[in-house]
Amino acid sequence: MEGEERMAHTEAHAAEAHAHDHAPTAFIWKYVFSKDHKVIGIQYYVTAMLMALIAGLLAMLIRVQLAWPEVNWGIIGRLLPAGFQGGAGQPYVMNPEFYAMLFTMHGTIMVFFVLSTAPVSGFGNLLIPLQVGARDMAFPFLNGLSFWTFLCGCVTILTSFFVGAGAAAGGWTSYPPLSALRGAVPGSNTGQTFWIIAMVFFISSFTMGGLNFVTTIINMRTKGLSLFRMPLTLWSMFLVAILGLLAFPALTGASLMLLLDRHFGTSFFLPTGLVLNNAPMVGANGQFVHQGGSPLLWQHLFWFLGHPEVYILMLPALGFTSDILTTFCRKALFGYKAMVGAMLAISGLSFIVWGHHMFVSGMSPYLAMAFAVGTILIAVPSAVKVFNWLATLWRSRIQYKTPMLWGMGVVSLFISGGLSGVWLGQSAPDIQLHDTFFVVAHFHLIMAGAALFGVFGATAMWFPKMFGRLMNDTIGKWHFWLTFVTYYGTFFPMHYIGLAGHMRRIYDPYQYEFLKNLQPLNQFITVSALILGASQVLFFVNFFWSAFKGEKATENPWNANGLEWTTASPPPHGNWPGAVPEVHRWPYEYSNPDAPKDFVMQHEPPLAVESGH
Amino acid sequence: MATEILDARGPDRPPLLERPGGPTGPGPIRHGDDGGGPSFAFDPGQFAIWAFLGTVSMLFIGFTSAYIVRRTGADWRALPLPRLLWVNTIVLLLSSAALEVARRRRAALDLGGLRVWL
Repeated sequence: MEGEERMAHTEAHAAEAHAHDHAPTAFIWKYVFSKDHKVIGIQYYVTAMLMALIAGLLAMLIRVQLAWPEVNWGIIGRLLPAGFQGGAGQPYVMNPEFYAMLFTMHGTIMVFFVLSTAPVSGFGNLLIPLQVGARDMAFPFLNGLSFWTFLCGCVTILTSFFVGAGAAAGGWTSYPPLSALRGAVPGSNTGQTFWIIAMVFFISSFTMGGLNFVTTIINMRTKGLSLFRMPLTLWSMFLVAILGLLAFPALTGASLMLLLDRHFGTSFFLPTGLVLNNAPMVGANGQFVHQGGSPLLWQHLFWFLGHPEVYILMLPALGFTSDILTTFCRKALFGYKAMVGAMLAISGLSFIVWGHHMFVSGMSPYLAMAFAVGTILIAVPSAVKVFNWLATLWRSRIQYKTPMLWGMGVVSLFISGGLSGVWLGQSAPDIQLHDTFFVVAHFHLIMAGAALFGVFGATAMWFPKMFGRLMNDTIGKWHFWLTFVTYYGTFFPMHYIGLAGHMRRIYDPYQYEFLKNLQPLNQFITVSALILGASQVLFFVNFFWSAFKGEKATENPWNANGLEWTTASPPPHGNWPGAVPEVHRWPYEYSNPDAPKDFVMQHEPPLAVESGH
Repeated sequence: MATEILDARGPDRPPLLERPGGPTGPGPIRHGDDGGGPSFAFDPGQFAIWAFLGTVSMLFIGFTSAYIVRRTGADWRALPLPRLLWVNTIVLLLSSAALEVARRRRAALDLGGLRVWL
């Protein structure tokens, strides 16, 4: 089959104008093992959203436990006997180990398998060739392989729920020794090994994708599309791919060493003098089994990846937002080059600030100072971005369509989550706030929230290019407002309980006298979170209904300027039936008084007054 | 192996100007068609290999820094280097050199020499 496919491709390229005629026709090659970037993008996207459903349900269990630790779980306890104790007339109560597994898997799945995947691999694959004016990615086969590798990772991480004593429970950061000693907690056993294997699958897939992204953007741009004429979505994908290529190897290396520590008796991360379940870990010769390792080494390697990783989640949302805001303001983007510069600065700085996750590790205060200064510096490009967005919105005629609402939601979350980042970035306040719900509030607003809102906005915006239809605007707006209000309702009060000393990753906070008065607020948060979770049903209904029954979309339903809007919705195999369009300007030419209409698309020939942008 | 060397663009690349996704490399620029991003004219495959080398370098930097950190531990014992290591290194270097000579033979269209060095 591989040979036939290749032949088909060769012919297609030889008869270039008819490239789309030679698209694979059998269902399995067209929709399942496809090498078409649009199909792969949708596959990534849908898989990630289904993973989000699972990780979201885990979050609901976490929230109920925090609000009512003594609650009788009833039917849920009966369905999941390993996670709960009780039955036979007794109420079902959640096990602490099960709670640890819940937050570990919620974090792992959300960070890697949802929010790194849906915006980057999903929309990256869908949009990059369309926006650069290419017929497909640089390496279509590698692209397909990357999706199937990713799927192996998903299956592995989901399988880990059902192995031995359950899934990993050492936090999404998997700090040793908890993650390195198989007997430490139930989740440290087979579940943790599966976690490592899933990570390796994920990283391989992301590396393949990243190579494709960088190569396509550097090499496959159509005539006239210089780097500084690229939409910011493309810039964000470009930077995200570079971040992934350079940061993820640190976790690959660390995971391999963790695997050796766990199964082959090495001591990379395991220090001398470990005591496991009240028994010193000594061998037959009376010496400690593990000697001389450094748990901090893992933290350095993990966060060298970890900090760029959170920007991998966030940057695409910033790119989508810029494209969405200009389209629905009918106004040129304010400060395009400053926006690109800001993204470059954010990406560059992300590599030298990882130590701010480790301020309480006993590092030298001078080193902490250096990391703090680097971290605070990130506020500068971030403020540039916010200023430019606000200046774009300023005195514009805003069209409040669903994508626009999400875009403005991203701006809001970016501000409110960013401000707490300035607190946490300095070592002195961080030592107080470390490991409290203040941190949970911070990263859910800025990293998780901005990324999630960005994905929803991009879905509404580029849905025509996925399925040739529009999403329902009324349901979309209901979904937005319910999500927006309950998102703040869930995560804003967490700042307060964090300041009050409520630690994160705690099974029953009310065993401490000083946290007992926080229970009503925790219950408010939980109610908010449950409504937030339930509101997502609207999204899934809208998504699947619109994909099949939605209003048919025209080529360019939003009157936007990018190259993706010059072809049919959905684009055919090969993206453009005829020649690939040439580019004559940047993508933000809105409301030019010299133009006949209020938008000038990138491929339209130069206007009489234009001396070239 | 041999096909890859005979056609530098590899078996995946059609023999025409077209590359998957539209051409960018050197060649006549056809107006109005997908004729070339003029600013960079790398071969996509070659470019991706360099990018991947960056990734691999980061992996080795990670391992090296772990080694540097770990060797400061009190229990660290340096391993004696086995002689096989040196033999392996020499074989690797020689085979790289042979491959490079073969590549140059091919560039000079000396197919006999190419076969010898391969």
